[in-house]
Amino acid sequence: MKIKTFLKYFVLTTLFLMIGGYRYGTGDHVSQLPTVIHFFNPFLYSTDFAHQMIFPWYVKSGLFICLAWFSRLTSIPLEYIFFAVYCLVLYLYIAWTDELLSLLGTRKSVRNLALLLLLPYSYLFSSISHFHLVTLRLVPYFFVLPFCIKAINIFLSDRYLAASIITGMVFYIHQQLGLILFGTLAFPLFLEVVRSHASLKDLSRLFIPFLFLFSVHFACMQLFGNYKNYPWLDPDWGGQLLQMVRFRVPHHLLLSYSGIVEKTSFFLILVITILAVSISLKTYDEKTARRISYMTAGLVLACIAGFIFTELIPLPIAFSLYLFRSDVLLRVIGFASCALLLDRMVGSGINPLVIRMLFIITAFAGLSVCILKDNIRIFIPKNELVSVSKCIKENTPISAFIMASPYHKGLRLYSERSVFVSWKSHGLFFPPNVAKEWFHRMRLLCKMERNIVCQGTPCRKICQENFESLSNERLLDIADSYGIDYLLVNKTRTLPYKKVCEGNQLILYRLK
Amino acid sequence: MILISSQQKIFVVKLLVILCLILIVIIPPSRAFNKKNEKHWLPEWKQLILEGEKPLTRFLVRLRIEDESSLLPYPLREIGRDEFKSFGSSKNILLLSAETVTMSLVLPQEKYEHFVWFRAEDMKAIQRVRWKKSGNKWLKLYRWKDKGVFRLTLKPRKGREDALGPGKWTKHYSSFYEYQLENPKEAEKIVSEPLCLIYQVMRLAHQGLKSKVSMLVFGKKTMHTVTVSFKKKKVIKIRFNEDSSNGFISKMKKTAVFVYKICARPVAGTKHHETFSLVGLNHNIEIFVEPKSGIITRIRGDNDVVGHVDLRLVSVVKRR
Repeated sequence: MKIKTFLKYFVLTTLFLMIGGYRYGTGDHVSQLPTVIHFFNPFLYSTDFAHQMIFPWYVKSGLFICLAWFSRLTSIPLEYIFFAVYCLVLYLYIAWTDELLSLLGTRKSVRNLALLLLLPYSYLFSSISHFHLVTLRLVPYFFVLPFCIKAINIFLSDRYLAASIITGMVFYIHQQLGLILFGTLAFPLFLEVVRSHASLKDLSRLFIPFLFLFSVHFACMQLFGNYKNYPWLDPDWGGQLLQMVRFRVPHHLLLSYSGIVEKTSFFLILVITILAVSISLKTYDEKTARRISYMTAGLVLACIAGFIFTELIPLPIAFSLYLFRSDVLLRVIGFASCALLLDRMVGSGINPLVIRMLFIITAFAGLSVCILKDNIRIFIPKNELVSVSKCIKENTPISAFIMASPYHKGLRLYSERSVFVSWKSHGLFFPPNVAKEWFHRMRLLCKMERNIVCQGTPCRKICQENFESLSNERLLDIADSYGIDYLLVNKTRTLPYKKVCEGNQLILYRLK
Repeated sequence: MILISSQQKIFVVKLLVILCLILIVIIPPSRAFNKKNEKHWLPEWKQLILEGEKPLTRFLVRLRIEDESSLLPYPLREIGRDEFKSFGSSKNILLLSAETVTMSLVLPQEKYEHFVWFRAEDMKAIQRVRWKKSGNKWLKLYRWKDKGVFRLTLKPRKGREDALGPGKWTKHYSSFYEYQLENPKEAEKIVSEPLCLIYQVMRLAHQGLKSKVSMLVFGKKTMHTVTVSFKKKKVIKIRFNEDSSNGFISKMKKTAVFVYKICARPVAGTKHHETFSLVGLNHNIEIFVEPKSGIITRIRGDNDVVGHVDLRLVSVVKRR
């Protein structure tokens, strides 16, 4: 790679980082990092019902555990390692998106402009699955996204074996996206074999390595992990899952929950892709045009299947596959198609001066955001919950079992203690007994035992309000029936028990 | 001025002699009292973590010792059976617990926790709780009686109970294991529990005893005769984290340890065949202990499934 190209990606990564931002120890990390802590100290979380999820989570958190091992071996704090890997992944995302644009025949000047436009597109544009292309934290999904793009690039270059191995690697880090990626690559090749455009040998090169890796994982999970006795096709369990999904994550799984903006975005991307493929790409490279159109068709079919088998005929397997996530790869292909259309629209290319000006404006915006806003947070933020959690960690035994408002994000991570239930760390994709128990506990604390009065994010707020309105008697009754020994409540609530930790707003009582 | 007759003088002298004799008689019992205090001996640590490794597998053991026998650990306080919540009036009762975890990158995690209440002076076991926390979970409560051991097993029913704590499990079974003794005269003997051997070894080392001690130990279902014998004194290098008021500090030092060997054999004529087990180790068990502090620096031995396991000290929480 030329030094100039390297510098271009480096500058873009810095701009993405400055404007987009970075976070650690918040959001999804609060449910994923406890598994890393537990891996190194398995005596923790012994009274946490969520500890039953630990084995399957090890598989899912393999990436984090590897990073934590590296941190232990090198004595570099985990926060720095996460940040470095995040920057690297962001760099690869930009570089491999550029490679995809190049493969589709987009000229360099248009590519440079497209990479600048990728910035708002990645952070602001979320379609029906409600996942942004770039997340603010290093999570398995974002880690594998550049590799998905790379696998598509390699596939378009007819290197099926390498594409298959990368897909397998993606699958081990993020099962749903790995399967969606495999479907995205397998579907066009399969159609090409049917239409005699490709050979069976090509198909076997793509299928065999991935299916081998998949079988090993599936067999292990079926024998020892959370796939054991999982009712993949049980419509009754599917119906119950649908009720839980409506309560907790409808934005990721249900089309009916998406608003008009998300649905329009989805169809817009689809239309642009079809236009770009049929008008621009077909005349330039018929084979790539055919593949891109098959891929698009495959991804749309997956989304349709997602709608049918989650909302109309709810099947657990469809929930586990998260088929709406196909929309993420469709957005990547859609972006490449947009760039291609733009390339064909500006006949003689874009004046480099315009691009330089845009670079300067973006850099200025990036600097301003960086100065005005604390946008890159490498460490766990200091707030009330974090400081109270620190006190809990120092003043309670490791077997302490705490009940708090499910609204609090990160009590399990920051205090390293077992927590009764939390909104963030749901167990919907774990064995039915764990998922049902999570839902039951949520309904107890949210005062929704009889009926659920909300859907999705508003439920969180209602839960918080209902938890605060629970009487002391009811709260202690629930605590007693589950063997809770510590209660973390707002200071407005006074209980006749010993105070262990006290913050500005929160107070921890010892019940036993 | 008070005048003392010669007869009175003789009486005073006799009184003094008698007093001296009484004092001489009293001194040994007071020493015995000190010795009794010795029986209350507790090591300097409150919690130890030992860790061992095999390819792709980690073994962790967390030992805890408490002198508050009234302390009810988590699963026990949730069980609605009061007969398992009282331990008599003796102040000499200690609670020793061991949590063992086997972690593999391929197989699911195995996790057991084990609590024993016992009399410090003679190692007589009073009660034990064994809790399987992983896979098909169960909780077994054992109560030592005059003629044998009573056991209550708790299991979750399939479905929702599996995700709940042991207090909510509704499948209960009880059984009674009569002591099988080689010699009926042994019926009066003290029956201990495998985990008490850890305390026995620490105390022997603390007293500087290099002798051999035999005990009757009730395992899972069977009685074993166990011999704890001094093997050697050794200077070893240890590296561990110590929990202090300033947080965890890393320590590395050379220390002299006593090595004790544990040999167990089932009592002849026992109904159930059972392999002896101490923190997951079955044969050739050796315990390395620092005499002064009672810190167990190493436990090694053979496991029937994975072979030789060497558990080394990684963390100490000292008694404050």
